[in-house]
Amino acid sequence: MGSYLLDVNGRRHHLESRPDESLLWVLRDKLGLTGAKFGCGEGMCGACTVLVDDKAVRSCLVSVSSIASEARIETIEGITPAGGLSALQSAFKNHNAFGCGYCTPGQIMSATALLRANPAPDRNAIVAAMNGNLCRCAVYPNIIEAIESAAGHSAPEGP
Amino acid sequence: MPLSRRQFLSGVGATIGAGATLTYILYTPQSSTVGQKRSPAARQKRLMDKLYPGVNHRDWIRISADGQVTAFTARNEIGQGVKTVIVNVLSQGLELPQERIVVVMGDTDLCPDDGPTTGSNATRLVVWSYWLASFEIRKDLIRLAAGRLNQAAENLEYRQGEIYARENHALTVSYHELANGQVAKIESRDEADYSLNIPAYEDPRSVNVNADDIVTGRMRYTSDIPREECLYGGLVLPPYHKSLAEMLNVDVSGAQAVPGVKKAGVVNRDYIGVVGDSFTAVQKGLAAVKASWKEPEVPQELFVESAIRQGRALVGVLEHRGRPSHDANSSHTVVSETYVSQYGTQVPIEIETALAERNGDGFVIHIGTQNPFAVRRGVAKDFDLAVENVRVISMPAGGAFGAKTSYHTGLQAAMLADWAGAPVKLVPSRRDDIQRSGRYKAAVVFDVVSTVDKQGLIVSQEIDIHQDVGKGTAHVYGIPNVRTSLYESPLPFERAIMRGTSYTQDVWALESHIDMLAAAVSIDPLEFRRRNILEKDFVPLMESCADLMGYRGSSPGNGHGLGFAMINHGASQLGVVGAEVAVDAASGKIEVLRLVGAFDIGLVINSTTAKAGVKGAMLWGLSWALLEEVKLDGHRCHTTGFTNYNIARFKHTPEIEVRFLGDTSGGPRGCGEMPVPPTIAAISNAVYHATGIRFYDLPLTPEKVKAGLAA
Repeated sequence: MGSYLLDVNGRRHHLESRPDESLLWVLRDKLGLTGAKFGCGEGMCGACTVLVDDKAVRSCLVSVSSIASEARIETIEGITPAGGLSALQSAFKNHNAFGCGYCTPGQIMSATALLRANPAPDRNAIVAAMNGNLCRCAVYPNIIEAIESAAGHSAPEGP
Repeated sequence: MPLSRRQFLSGVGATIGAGATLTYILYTPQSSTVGQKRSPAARQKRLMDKLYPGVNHRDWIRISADGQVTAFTARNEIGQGVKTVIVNVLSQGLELPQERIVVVMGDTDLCPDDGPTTGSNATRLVVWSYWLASFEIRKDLIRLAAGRLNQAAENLEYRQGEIYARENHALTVSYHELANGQVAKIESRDEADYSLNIPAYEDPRSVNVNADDIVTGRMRYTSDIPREECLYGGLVLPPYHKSLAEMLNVDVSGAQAVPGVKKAGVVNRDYIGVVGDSFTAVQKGLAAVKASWKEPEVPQELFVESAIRQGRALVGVLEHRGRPSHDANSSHTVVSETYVSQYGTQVPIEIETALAERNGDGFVIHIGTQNPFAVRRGVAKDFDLAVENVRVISMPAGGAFGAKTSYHTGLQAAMLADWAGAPVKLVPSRRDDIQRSGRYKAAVVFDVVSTVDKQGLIVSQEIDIHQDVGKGTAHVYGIPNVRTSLYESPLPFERAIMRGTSYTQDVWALESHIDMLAAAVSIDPLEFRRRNILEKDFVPLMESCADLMGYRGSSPGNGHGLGFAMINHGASQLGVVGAEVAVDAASGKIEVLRLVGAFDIGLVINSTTAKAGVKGAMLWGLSWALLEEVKLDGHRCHTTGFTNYNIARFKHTPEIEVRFLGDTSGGPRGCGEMPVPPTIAAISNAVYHATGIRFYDLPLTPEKVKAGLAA
C-alpha cells in the first residue's frame, strides 16, 4: 500500500491505496465519488471520464501512483454547483440527453472539457470530442443538441 | 356537519407514526357493476387478469396523510423512462402535482408481479392500467366528497390532494380521509371520460423525473451502493457453455497470493470464486487462477451458415396457407435467396451487477434487473428456500436491452455471498459480460423463395428460418400461398434476447427480399409494398416516410441510395423507416446520412421519452446493420469488449426525424423496440439502391462491401 495526496474537486485528500489501483476505483471506493462509472476498464466506453487539469481523461486507465499531487482532478460531483445545475447540466436535462443515465456523468465531463477548450464548437467538433463516450441507449442526437444549446450559454457561469 | 380532520382520524383509529407523514391507507376498490358494454378500465382489467392474475393496479395506489401518492410496480427503469410516464398519468388522473407521486419499482417484498420489463409493453399494460385506475379513483373521490360535504358533485373541485366546494373554500376533505371511507360503485360508462390530456412535447411535465439525479451523478446504480464490510466478488467462468463444461484441475494458489484477495476457491461444481477488497484485486485474482475444463466434442466449424444448417431439426411450421409452389414462366418470376446474420450481444454500458447479502436463512439482493421476480425464484430454487425468504430490490439499470432478464447474476452473487460469509458485490468484467459462458443473440439463416406475378403481387412464398423465432411479418403482406418453417440447430450456445423484436433478423431478411422482388419485376419498392400490404394503416405511414425523405421514386444510385422497410409488431405497433446512405467503393464504408421514421403506436403519453426511445431504437438498428458481430470459433468466443465489438458512436449518428401518426383512441401500444428491424432493412435496401449489389450477410462491414463491389 502507498500513501497518496490527490487534489479532487478543489480539496486535498490523503489516502492509502495500492499503487496500481486505477483513479476510477480510488475515486469511487476511497472517496465515495461514485459518479464516474466502470463500463469496460479499457478506456473504450468513456463512462469513467473525469477531468485532470481541464482535460478529459479515462480514469480507468490511470493508476493512482502516476498522478501528480498538484494535478487538479474534477468529477461530476465537483462541477455541480451547490443546490442547482450548471448550464450544461440544465441543457442535458431539458434536451433529455440521457436514457438510463449510466454514461451521463462521463458524457458531461467530456462535454465540459470540450466547452472549456472550445466555447463555440460546431457539430463536427462536438462529434469528434465526444466520440470516445459510448451511449447504448443511443441518445446521441439529444446529447449533441444539449451541448450546442449549452455552448450558446456557457459564459459567464461556465459549463 | 363534516368531521374535523382530527376527529375523523381518531374515530377510525388511523395511526400516525412519529414524523407524521407516512400513514398509508389502502384504497379499497369496489368491483364495478357489470354493464352491457365494458368500460376501457374493465377491458384493461380483463387483459391484465389474464397476464398477471390477481394484480389489480387500483389496489396498488396508496394515499398518505400528507397527500403523497405511492404506486408500485415490478417494472424497472432501464433507460426507457417508464417511471416518468407513470408519474405523468397518476398526476393527471389524481389531479396532483407530479412532485407528490412516488413510484416504487421492482422490490419483490413491496411490489406486485405485474410483469418483467420486456416486450415494450410497460406503457401499454402498466402505465395504462394506472391511468385508468387513477381516473376511476378520482371519480369515486368526487362522489364520496359530495356525500361528505353535502354538495353536488358539479360544485366540487380538486386541489392538491383535497376536494373543496367551489363556493365555500372552507369546505374541504382530503383524499386520504375519503379513501378510508365507503367507496361508491362506478356508474359512468362514458368512454370520453377517459381522455388523457397529453402534455405537449417539451412541456416541463414531460421531463424525466430522474433528470436532476442523472445529470449530477447522484443517480445510484447497484455498484454505487455503499455497504459496510462488503467484498467485491467475481467468478472464473468456464470457457464453454456451462452445460458442456466439466471442471478438471483447479489451482487457486496464485489467486490467494494477490494483495487484496480474501478468498479464492471452488464455490460449487460450476464456479470458481474470488472475493477481495477491490474490483482490481478480484480481477487479478481471477486471472491468476489456473483451471482447466474438459474440451467438449462440438463442431469446430467457424462459418456460421454451415454450422447452423448442419443437423438442423424442424421445430414447427409457423404458417401454412394455400399451396406454395414456384415455377418460373412467362407470367411469374421466382426469386430465391438466403440471408445470414451473425451472433450479437447486448453490451449495456452498466455490466449486470448484483449485491447479495445473507438475511437469516435467505438473502437480500440489489440488482439492476428487468425481472426481479425471476431472480427471486432462481435464488430460492437453488438454495431450496421459500420465495418469501429472498428479497430482490431493483436498482435502476444502466441499460438492459435483454441482457438482464434472467436470474444468473443474482444467483451467482448469492452463491459468492454464501461462500464468502459476507455481503458480496459481483461486478463482472466486460469480457465476462459478453462471453457469459455462451449466451448470445442467435445468428440466423433465412432461406426464402417467392413467386411474383406481372402485376407485382406475391403469389407464393416459402421460408425456412434457422435459429430465430418467427417470420414476424405475417401481418404486413397478404400472400395467398405461404409456408414458413422454423428450424433449430444443436449449437452449444444459449439464445439471448436483444432489443428489437424476437424476429429482428427475419424482418431484415424479408424486407430486403421484398426489394429484390420489386426489382425483379421492375416496380418501385414502395409501390410494390403498397400493392401487397394487408393493412391500409400502413399507407399514411409510407406517405409520411416518403415525404420526410423527399422521395420521388427510385432512380440509379451511384454510391448514394434511399431505402425503406416496414414492420407490424404484434399487430399493434406499425412502423415504416427510411434510410439515406452514401457508400464509398474504395473503402467499402457505408455512411448513413439520414434516418426517418413514421410510426403508428396509438396514444403517445410522453413524446419526450417516446421520441428518445424510437430514435435510440433506430440507432440500435444502424449499429446492428453495420457494426455488430460476436466472433465465435466453434464454441470459443473471441469477442472481449469494445476493442473488438463495435457499437454505434457519435460519429455514426445521422440526422433522425420521426413522426407519430394514427388513431390514438385505443390508448398506448408501445414503441421502444419495434423500429430496430425495419431500420436494419431500410439501410440494407438503401445500400442496394446505392450500389446495385445486395449484401446477404449482416453486419455490412467495409470488408464485405468492398469485396462485393470489386467482384
